[in-house]
Amino acid sequence: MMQGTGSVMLSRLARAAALVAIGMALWMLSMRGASAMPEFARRYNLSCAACHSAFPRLNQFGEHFAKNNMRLPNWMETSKQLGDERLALPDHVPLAVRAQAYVQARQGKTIDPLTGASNYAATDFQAPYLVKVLSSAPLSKNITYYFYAIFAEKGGNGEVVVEDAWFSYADLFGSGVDMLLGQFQLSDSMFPREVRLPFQDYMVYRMAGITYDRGVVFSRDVGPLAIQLGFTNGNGINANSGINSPGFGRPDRMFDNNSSKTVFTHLGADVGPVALGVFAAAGKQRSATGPAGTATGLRDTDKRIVGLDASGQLGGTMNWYVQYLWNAWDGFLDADPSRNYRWQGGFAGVDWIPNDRWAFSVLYNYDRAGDLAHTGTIYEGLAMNSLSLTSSYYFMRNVKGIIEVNFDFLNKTTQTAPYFTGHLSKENYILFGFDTAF
Amino acid sequence: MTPVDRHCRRWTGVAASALGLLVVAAPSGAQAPGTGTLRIESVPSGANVELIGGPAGVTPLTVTERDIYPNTYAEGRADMYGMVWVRHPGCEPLRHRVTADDIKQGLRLNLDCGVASAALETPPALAATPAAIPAATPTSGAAMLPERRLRQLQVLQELLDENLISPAEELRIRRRILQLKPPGG
Repeated sequence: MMQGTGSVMLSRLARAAALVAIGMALWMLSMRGASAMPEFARRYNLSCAACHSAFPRLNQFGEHFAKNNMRLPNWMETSKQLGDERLALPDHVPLAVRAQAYVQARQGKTIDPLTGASNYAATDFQAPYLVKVLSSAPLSKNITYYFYAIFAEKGGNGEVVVEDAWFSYADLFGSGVDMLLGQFQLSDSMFPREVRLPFQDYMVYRMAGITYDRGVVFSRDVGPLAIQLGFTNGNGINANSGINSPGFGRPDRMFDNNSSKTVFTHLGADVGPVALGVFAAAGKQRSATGPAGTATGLRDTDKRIVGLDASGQLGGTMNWYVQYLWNAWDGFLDADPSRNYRWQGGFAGVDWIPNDRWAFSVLYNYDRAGDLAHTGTIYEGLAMNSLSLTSSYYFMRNVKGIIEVNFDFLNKTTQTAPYFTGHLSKENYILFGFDTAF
Repeated sequence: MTPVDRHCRRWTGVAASALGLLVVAAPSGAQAPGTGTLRIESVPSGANVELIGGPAGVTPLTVTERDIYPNTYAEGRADMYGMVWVRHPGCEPLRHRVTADDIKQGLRLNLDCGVASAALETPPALAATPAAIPAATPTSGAAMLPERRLRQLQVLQELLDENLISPAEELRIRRRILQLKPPGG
């Protein structure tokens, strides 16, 4: 009964959404734009169009800029002239803001895996979805810093989360090797999530646990091959604990939770018109324990990942990308530590940017729970089969409105294990909103 | 088919329609209203303008931001990214890095036609450093202030220090920077 009521509400909302879309389309067509000035554009007195094909997606020059230690050769011109050649202070505080706000209608529910208690909101005002403050500047001939902090991400009011935060050192000791030290995403070596056009995520990265971590990455081009080699703590970016064994009140804190490090590498090369890449990672992760595997265990278990990625262009306005990841989680579940679990997934997408006003994206996520299916744990939920269609309209270079529809092709499952796990509700959604950077 | 299924199908259909509506509303032209354009004028007029994509026309003309900043380009043309080359018979070729101010105010370039100098070739070492330095003589903005000239010289020195340009190229560009005339002068 409740489900039926929810569907009726969704149906009503969708009709209203269509009317809103008509209004938006008419309004958009009457808009007149102007130039936008986010931080890098401000610093170098350049249009956003210099680096973005459609914000936040980078174009060829934008990728070159990012790879070139996030600077142009004339970066010193943007520093304050203080008469000290050993001081390159930015001539203004290098800050930028990104903000997003959405309205969403969805079918997904919150279900307690232990009790089955559920909560449902057919419509949801997710505004603000996030407010992000970013900062970056070249500090010396070789060193650049970059960080951003998110305020109230996804409704987490009272929280500030620092995600990307690093120093990069170009041409380490004249070796041609670039080094990046700090917090970053392992998956950035393939397709950076932060510059994707759809609202929907590159889900396999999240589920494989190769998003944010603390560590170091070394990069170098060798002939046609772009090589990255990295080491991370392997336990994300939230953990830390006091070090009390030397005595009371010591200031040092431990960010890692074990001595092992995750090692990862990515090899990339252009083969004709296609950019190909191979990714591999190996490390430890804490086991899953407790009812439905919802708790973190005490055992360090082996984790290995192998990935293949490819991307390219179709004509001058279309970009495509494909990602595949194979995952091995050995002895991951405390319920059966002798068992090794394999699962795989990936995504594929196309971005079409026909002009400066519009961008259209298709993103398909497909993941299989593999050996973790039918385990009676929340990891049954690795399975996914969804298609997201996104339309973005750029009021300005740096202000866009988006509408996205997600179609869930995975069949709903019924509860079979003692716990409420698996694909218990569909995850169709429709979303409207704004995304801006300034 | 259950009522829930019917509702879901209807919901999916309406959602797809809403998305399709926005797709249909998309303007078909390559240049949408209100997006950036750059007006390029020169003295004397009738100069040939070259952008990263090749010859763009004869001054006065208007080009789009995407003509200056294309999303893709051949690596061999990287030195032309964001640049405008202006050539006129009997005048010294002029190379200018386009700024956001230029797009806002338009670009008016004074060509040096006083001396029938040999054409200035593209410094090959700059090919790997897109938009390396502005080496032009725009009459708009504060681009010709002494402070800016000093900064240009500093950048030039840095390029030399990093072996991105040869001493001969550095000398030639330095001379050009120092020979710039003040606005109206």
